[in-house]
Amino acid sequence: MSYFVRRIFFSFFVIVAVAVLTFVIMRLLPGDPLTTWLGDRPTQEQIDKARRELGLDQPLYVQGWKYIGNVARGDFGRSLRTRRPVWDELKEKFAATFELTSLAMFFCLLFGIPVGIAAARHPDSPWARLEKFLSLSGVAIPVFWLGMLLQILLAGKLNWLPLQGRGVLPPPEHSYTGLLLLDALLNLEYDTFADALQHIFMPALALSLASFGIITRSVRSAMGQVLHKEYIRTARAFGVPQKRILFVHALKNALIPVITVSGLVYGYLLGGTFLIERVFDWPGLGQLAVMSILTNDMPVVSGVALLYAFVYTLINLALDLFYLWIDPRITKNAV
Amino acid sequence: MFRNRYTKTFYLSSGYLLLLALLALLAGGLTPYPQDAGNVMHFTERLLPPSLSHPFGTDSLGRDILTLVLFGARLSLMAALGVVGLALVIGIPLGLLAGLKGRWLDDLIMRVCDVFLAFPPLLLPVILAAALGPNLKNAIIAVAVSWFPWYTRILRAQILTVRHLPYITAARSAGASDIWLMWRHILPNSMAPVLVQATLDMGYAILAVAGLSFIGFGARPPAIEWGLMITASRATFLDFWWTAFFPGLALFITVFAFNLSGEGLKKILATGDES
Amino acid sequence: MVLNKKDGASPMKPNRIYLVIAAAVLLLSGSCKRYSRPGDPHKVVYAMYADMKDWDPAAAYSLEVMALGNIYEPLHWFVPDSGGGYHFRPALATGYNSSSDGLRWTFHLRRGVTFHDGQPFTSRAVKKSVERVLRLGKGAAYIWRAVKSIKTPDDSTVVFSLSYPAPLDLIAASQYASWIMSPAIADCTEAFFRKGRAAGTGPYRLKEWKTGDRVELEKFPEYWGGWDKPHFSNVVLKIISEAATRVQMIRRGDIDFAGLIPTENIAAMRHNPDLSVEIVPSWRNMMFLLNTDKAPTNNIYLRRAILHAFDYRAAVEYILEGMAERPVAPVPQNMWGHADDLTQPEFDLNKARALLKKSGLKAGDIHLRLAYVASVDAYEKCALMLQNNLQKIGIQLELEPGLWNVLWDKAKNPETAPHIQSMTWWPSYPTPGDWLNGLFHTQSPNLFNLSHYHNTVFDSLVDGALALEALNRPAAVQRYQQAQRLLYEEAVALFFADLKVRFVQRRSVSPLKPNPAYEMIYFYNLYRKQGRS
Repeated sequence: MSYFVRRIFFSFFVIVAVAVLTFVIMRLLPGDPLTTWLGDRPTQEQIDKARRELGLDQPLYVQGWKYIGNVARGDFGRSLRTRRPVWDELKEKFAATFELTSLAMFFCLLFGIPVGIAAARHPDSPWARLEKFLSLSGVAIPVFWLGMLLQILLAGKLNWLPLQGRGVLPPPEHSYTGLLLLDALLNLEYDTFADALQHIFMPALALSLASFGIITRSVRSAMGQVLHKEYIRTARAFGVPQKRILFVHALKNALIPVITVSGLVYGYLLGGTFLIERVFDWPGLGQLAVMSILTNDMPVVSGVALLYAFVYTLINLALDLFYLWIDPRITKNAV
Repeated sequence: MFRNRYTKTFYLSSGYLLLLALLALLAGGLTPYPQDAGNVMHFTERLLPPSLSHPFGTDSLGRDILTLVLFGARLSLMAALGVVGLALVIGIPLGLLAGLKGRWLDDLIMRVCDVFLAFPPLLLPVILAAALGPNLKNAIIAVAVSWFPWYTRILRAQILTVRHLPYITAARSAGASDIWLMWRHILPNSMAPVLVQATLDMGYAILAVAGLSFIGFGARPPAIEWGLMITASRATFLDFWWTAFFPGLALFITVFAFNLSGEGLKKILATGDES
Repeated sequence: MVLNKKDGASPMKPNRIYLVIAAAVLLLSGSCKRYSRPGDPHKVVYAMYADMKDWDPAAAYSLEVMALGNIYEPLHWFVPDSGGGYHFRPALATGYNSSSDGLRWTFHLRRGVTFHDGQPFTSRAVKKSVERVLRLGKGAAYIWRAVKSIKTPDDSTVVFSLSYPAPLDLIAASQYASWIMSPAIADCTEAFFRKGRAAGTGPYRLKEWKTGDRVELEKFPEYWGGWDKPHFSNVVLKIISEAATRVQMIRRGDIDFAGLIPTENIAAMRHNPDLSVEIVPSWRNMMFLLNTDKAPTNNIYLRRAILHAFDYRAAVEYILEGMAERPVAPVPQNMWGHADDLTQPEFDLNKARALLKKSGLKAGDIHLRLAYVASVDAYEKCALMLQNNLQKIGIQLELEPGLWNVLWDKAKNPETAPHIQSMTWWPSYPTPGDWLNGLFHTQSPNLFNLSHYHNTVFDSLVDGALALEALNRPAAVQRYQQAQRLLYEEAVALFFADLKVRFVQRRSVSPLKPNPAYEMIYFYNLYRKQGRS
């Protein structure tokens, strides 16, 4: 239990550190954030007034202290670029990124696990070779290039799918989850669902193609190890049917490293959508981050960094706890 | 110790990389359009499809893309070396300190590493690159500064393992000095995983820098860099696919080659792998 | 667990999954309508490149004009004439006159007009609107600075008293800060407007604002202009920030208007029978400001040499590809008061070399810095071209791309300012003085005089012209032209593009009649042509 508590406390510290670091860096960034707030043609009076209003004339530590106080109360400030509350921006954009990466993860597992299993069971078959190729090349592919190739093919030449964006039709009447696909279904707006699916397909595919390799490799290696274990051979000798061996015994044990890797991949995906979002004009956290950094939109960048750190730490914590649950012995050597 | 199949791929991929480096160096002499590497504009020859005279086609300024890809290899390879080199220069001493000195210094360094690693992979380089200004040099620094914690961690973990090996403790109790031990035994035995990781990372370094250039925080014109070429093709790539295809292909193959070499190196050094 | 649902232990298992995926893709592609959509006869869709930032017409200073200009109206509209002159088209004011000293302006207001919220339009609304602008002091508020007091002798007359002569007829026609809002909302707070509220007199009223997605406007039945001619009754401003998406959507008929289309797509669009490419004039121009205060560009012969090292024709033809015209003056040629007798610098490297020699500076030893906004492709390509040419005459040009807020900070400060700074300018109200005053007049603190040009003769010419604008416009024009001549003689900036705006529109929509004074489309004048999709 104390390990658990230590981990949580430690994660909290990391999040705070990330917030502080981002805060400081953003304020040291060259360029005046006031132009973002005021627009292209401000007068000197407007600049001075805005500086006072936004509290930018105060020393760094005062600003920092105020910021921490506000965040503790749930006030993340207002975007300098859009004037909307940062929290609203984060919510919306996170939902979009979450939807994209979750679907990508789903594709990854959908393709990756069967290929990995097939490769493990038949080490010299074409599946094994496919797995080897995917695991080495998948991580080598520039994901933004892959996205563009898909666009050229599926949107350009074949005109099957829309090029970019999250959807053409208006968003569903009631936004329950912020996830377009789910919301459309919940609202029984099937047109909107189809539209959203068409739009999310390519970016999710591109993201998953780039991460397949890791999953298939981990599945193959985990399954490969398990399949040769003594007790599996014993079961086979006893005449337990193949299917049962595969699914009930082998998979259960192979699952641990696969879940770990999936968790890490998921975390990586969540944090690494910048490039894909740019290629597909996906209104997610990555786009928001880049946009805000470009325009010195400090409150948003701080918010984004905090959110990322929080999610990341959460995933890592979840994985660590999963490990703890699976095998308490492991934790002794951890940290 | 190693199977022939793995050696073959290792040599093949390393061979490709050496060839690439050579091509990059000699790029000027190899192509019929060396001047295209500057910021010339041949407006009448814009966006020509691949042909015999232009195997990779021309871009929106009329420059031969094959030439650009060859010249781009220079920057990409330099970026790989730069990022990994700088990350090692920062990461190794810190890893040493953490692993050898231990106690509060170890804790401090590890906490700092954890904070850096809590940032999602591209966020910190983007912020740093934005802070330093958009150019290739700063992009390299930004990525290196975001990556060094990996090496620190790996080195430290390895040092901790090696330190407690029986023969080391025996030597220490026999009176061997710490420095001598570190220099002759601990360090050489700990470096292997770091080096393997570094080789594997060369490819990712190229990808990271290309990614930064793609968003606009890395190389800028008139520099020629593969990621920059891809982002420049965004206005034309739908109707003129070659402007995006070839630079990306070059990136892919090069990173792939680095991966193969890294994997091969791993096998050769037999430092234990999961497959 | 997903996998438990799958069956089959054969090594062919993965194949079935791929069949499923292939089927799904085909299903997706089949389900979407691939043919180009016919346009809705009552609705028009325009693609905006960013969301509305400010719904307050008193503060809005950017692309909000596209929506606000259809919801609100000014006292009158500025309409340029083909000959170089202009006239005013009455809107909320049917006529006006001014006192001979330019200090009192009287506007006669239209009767029988109502606001979207039911309030009647009276002089009180005008008074409250302008007072709000001055009170907030945001956006382009400074254009009304001359106003001392506003009187409303009766419901249909409003009298402005000024503290110094100012061209209120031009100011009241501005696309910023001159919209008349309902008196009921003129006292509301910023927070009120941020939710997306509006109450104007214009043909359309705000129906809905889905942040980040679209703005929907619907017909205001009681509009004073009436609805008997063909008009659109619904306007959708869809927010599409990526150019490639706009391209695709207009091809498919999902939108009717798209702006900011990349040059490379234009040729294909021209061949498309459903689309027409409109190139409309604007009042924006692009220039590179030369730092007259910093060595070595403080040397006039060096500046003149730089002007001769720029390939103006290539810039307009290839880099901007017909999206601009070669400028003839610091003020765009479709703006009244531009100078029309200036000698243009020609692209001639020999002349440049000769001037360099005259400057006394040593070729090969000159290092200059050029800063430009990285995201603007035209700046980048022109800068690269200039760099190339300058190298041939022995001048090293270092390029510094960056973001505007960073560049602006540096450029304002004489220590960190570059030698050459990119700039695009357009006026806050219809006057040539805006360029001359905003960009080249001595300013303290310096905001936009990034050439750091300090010339008292120029300053007094511009000050005099601004004062005369209200009283004797032709005399003002003379002074404006003299001031522009000075800028050319002293090689204060490299003007390289009078920009045009390029729209792609679906042919089923009636053709635009554009007006460079307003960066918006006036949807009330448009309708869907019968029998065309």
